[in-house]
Amino acid sequence: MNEDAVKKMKKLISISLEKEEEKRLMKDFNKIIDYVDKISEIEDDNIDYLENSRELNKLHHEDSVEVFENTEEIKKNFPKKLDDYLAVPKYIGE
Amino acid sequence: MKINNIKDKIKENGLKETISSIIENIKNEDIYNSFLSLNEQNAMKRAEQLEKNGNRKKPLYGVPVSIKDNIAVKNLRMTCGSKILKDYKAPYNATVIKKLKEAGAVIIGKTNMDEFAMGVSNEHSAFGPVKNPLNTEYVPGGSSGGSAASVSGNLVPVSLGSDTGGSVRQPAAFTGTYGLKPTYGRVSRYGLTAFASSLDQIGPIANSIDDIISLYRAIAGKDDKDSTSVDKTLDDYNNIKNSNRKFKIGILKSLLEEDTNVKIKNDYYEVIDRLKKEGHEVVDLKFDKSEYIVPVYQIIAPAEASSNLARFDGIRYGSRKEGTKSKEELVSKTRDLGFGEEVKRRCLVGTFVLSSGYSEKYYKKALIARKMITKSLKEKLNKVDVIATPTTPNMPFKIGEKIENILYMYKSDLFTIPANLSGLPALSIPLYRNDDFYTSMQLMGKPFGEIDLFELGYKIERITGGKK
Repeated sequence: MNEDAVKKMKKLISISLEKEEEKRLMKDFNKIIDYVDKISEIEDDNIDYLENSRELNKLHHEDSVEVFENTEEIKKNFPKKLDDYLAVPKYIGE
Repeated sequence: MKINNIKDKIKENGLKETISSIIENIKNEDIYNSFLSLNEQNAMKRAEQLEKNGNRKKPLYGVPVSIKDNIAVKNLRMTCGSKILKDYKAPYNATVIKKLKEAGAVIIGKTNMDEFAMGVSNEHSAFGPVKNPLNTEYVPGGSSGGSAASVSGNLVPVSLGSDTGGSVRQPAAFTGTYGLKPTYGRVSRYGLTAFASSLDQIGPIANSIDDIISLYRAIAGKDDKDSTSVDKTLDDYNNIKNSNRKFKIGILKSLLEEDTNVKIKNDYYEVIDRLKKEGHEVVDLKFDKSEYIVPVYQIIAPAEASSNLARFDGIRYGSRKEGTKSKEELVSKTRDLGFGEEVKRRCLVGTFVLSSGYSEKYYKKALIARKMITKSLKEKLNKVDVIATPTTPNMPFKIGEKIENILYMYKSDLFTIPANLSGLPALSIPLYRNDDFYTSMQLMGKPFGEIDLFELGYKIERITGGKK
């Protein structure tokens, strides 16, 4: 992967990486991709690889509302709270 | 420690006393770092309630169970082995927890694991590695290493782990315990933090087949909250323990040729020979897609993980990086600080194999290969009752010894991955103890054919003598 591709990947996974860690990860990354590349020799156009996702309608269920009784605990997990609301930083001029 | 020992203790000393001594013992004896949090107050309250007016006939009455830290237990900390969730408390119970409680069980605490269940050695936990109770210089396997260590170290009789590519069976093999990955859809995943949703399944770890069955029966069943769970009645397990049934057992000799440890091979073939002598038929099956097993898994699992883990952004829960100048910076710095290297590595690989220009080459091919492997295994299982392999190609290694050798780690799932790719049930059984560690065997069965694994498992347990 060249530098542009690495930049694009970092953006896609939304993880900023320190230089040293990035170097280590890219080394492993190339090792892994080389290894899984074995898969590219597979050829079989007769296999319906999306079969399972076509049967998804079997999984449909009634869309009904249920009351969740423990909303207080959900709020306790907020990283920051303002009164009873979830607080996020203010970014101006973005 | 087995469930029966607990039942005896309850009869002798009462339930409250039994649970309190279990908790004290964990506090003093958990030198393995197997627990991340203890459910002390709730467990004691529950023991008191059960003792006062609990139904003593319930199958798991008073049985203490440890739970892998990626399964939600209401109001208890749930870290998934990650810094990003170090202060997260689950606001609800996973379906398996609800079911365990209905069966009378007492939830004792949450166990250590590889971060987000990614790993085979438990060295990728943000809260330190777990040590193998059989020899504390060695890894206990992963990712359910804490669960396996808590059972192997006799801190609790049974535990729940989760298995995406072998994460219940491989640590069971490394710690000399039994581990089951049920058929995909047999157990509800509601409340299990998703790693690779099409592969994940919750399963029990225990010191005997009896105990595996007790836990499995309690957690299995259709759940409206998991639309992939399946409505199938459980078989009758009453007559399988001493049955005279003769099995047709498939083995995959060619798969063992590469890199399988000699001790593992020897013990495996010895037990296969014993089974032959007892009148079971053994058939060698050809498995010509075996070189794709690990690559397929290392494409599909990271691909699903990279999208499942997108939710950890520091906005609504989890640790959040303060002092950032944009939303993008907040998310990417939060994730940089919150995730460990193995998780980042898999996010990178997963996102790459799904990205435009590469998804045809990798992800699509992996889906095709997955279908091929599934088809091939199901065809084999039309000819035999079960397929028997070792559980792992390698024995436990020392903590830190292999951490740099990623591919070695990935390849140690060779025998366990096929059951996840094809949704089949698989049971790991310890065979013989050599020096510190046990060798082990895995039985893989037909879809929803867990009963076959238990029935043949009992026969193997009789051959090896089981665990004392």
